[in-house]
Amino acid sequence: MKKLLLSAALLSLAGCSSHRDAGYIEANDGSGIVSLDAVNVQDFALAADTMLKSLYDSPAFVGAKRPDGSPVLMVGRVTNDTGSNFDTSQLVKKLTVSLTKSGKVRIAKAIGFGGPEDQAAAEARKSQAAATGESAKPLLPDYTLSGKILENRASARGVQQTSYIFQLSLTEVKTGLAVWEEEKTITKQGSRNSIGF
Amino acid sequence: MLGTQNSRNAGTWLFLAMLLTGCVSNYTSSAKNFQSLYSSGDYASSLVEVESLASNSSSEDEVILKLQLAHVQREAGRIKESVETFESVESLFQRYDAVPEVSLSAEGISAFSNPYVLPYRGRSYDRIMTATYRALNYLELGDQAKARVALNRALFRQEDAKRIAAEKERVAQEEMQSVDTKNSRAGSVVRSDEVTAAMSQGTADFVGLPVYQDYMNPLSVWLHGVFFLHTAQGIEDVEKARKSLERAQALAPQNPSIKEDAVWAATSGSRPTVDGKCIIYVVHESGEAPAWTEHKFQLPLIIIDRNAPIVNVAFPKISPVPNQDTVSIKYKLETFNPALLASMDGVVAREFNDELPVVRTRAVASASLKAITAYVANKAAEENNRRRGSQESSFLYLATIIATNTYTTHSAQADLRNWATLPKNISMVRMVIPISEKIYIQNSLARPPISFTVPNAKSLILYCKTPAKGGPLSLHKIILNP
Repeated sequence: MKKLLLSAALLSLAGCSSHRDAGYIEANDGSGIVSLDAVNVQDFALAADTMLKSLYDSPAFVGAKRPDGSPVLMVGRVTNDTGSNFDTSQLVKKLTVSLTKSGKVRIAKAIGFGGPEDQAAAEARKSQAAATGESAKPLLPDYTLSGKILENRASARGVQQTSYIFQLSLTEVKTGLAVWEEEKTITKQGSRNSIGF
Repeated sequence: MLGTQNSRNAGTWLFLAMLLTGCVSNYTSSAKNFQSLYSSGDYASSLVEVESLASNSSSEDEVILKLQLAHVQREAGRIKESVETFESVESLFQRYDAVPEVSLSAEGISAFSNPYVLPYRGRSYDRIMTATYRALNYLELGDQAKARVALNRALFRQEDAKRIAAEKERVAQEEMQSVDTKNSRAGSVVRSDEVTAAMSQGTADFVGLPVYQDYMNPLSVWLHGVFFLHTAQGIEDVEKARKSLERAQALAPQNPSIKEDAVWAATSGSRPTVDGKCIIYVVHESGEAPAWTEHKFQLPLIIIDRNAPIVNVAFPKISPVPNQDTVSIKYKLETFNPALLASMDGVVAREFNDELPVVRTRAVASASLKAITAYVANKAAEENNRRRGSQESSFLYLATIIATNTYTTHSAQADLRNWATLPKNISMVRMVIPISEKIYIQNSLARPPISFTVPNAKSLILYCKTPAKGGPLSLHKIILNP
């Protein structure tokens, strides 16, 4: 009888959850929430770190120059081919921020795949050209960056495993050849059940 | 002899059990209204009803009501709202997925005197269809990137379904063992002829339903295939399409339209196009998903004594709803008739049968406990009457017997929560029609057919729905390759 009453009491308490005060954490120090069903912020951070290290170690930009400065990079399509919705700029922005700061390339903002990233810059460029009675010079990139994020799942003996595979390629526009490619796989494991009753 | 302590305990438990039964969800009766409006094709009125229900729903019914709300919103033309609602359901699924489900102990099972106290977490087919409708909604809004993600999710959900089916089997075995250990009499009742016969009633009304391999849903698999074929960003996408289309072909061998695309995907590395023409897929959803009812029966006596109450148990039962419609598409002198792509009856029935062993054990164990506590209460009242021998004590004894029998007879309830707005069948036909030409789509109603002018696109899906025979025909236009 006591057990029954205890079960009932537990039932009534089932809706309660433990409380934890909000606090700050570092995105990539391993203390963030890890989800099997989603790409977490630390996954993007880890993938971007790996990609950047690989890119800086590669000879991709060696000797690449323009008369007016460093070469121009246009961000192309980065396809989210996983089962979770997220903005791929969470990865790409980390790369472009670092590359811009390094001075190795300049990022084209007034042009882009599927439209300019900075619409205002594109409009202002057109207006500026019109004011001087000229047509805007085409902004041609030297490199394009494209890629894909894939998801792979497996399960065995009650353990679920999800891998997110980050693939990026840097293509030299002049030759149409890839000058750098990298892949980073992030794998997470955990037990996850979802019986619908 | 029963002491005062025992009779107090019995009374306490009976009171508690009755309290738990008092928390019964009135889901079935409250959902009836919007579901019948939906079946008649009055989506606007159905939406008003279901919106009101969903906004006042308990957390236990949140998933099931939101699923249907999103579906009605979609048919009422409120695609953006439908997207939002399906997304919130997807979040709820993910929240439930993060909480491990463990098998219940014998006490735990018995404490659930009513299955409605458990939250509806979503069945595997709910999750697969949610991802599929999310993809259809995104495609209709022209957001192919999000449709791609949703279709990937649908594929993963199908892989999950196979794993979850194995989990259900494990939970059923563990709970049965637990009941056997704690109450061998209840265990033998679970295995009794009466219970076995009642279980066999669950899907007895269905004949010749397809059993889809590995819990795959042919609609989701086919949609995944045609999407990746017609929006392919590279050879990898065409390869994905090939695999899905070949699977879809195996799942729906009676549908000849899948073959052409499967062959194209296997032999060509690009999106299919036909000069000056549009590849059109007419998909038709029709009829209603199986009807869920309650099958109540009397349990064999657990205690052989005149104080033992009559105990009822309720199992769910599903039956086909025979009201599906057909469509035909006319182009000049040609007539196209969509062939069966997916039987939702088959999808629902399979998962229903997978769940039944757990439902059985929980229902019988709970009923056994009710029987024992009611018996203890009756016995205590009898003892009290024997000792006092007054008119009052005699009346109390009689009242206790009536109360316990009423409770054990009427408290049994089967969980009938299900996604009732799903269709019965989904059929599909592929056509290649010149741009700017007109096609005419008609269901069995003698109304003027819906005319559709083929736009300047390479491929599209016309997703049609007839909720029930004689109901209106609605149409969603989805451009795959502009």
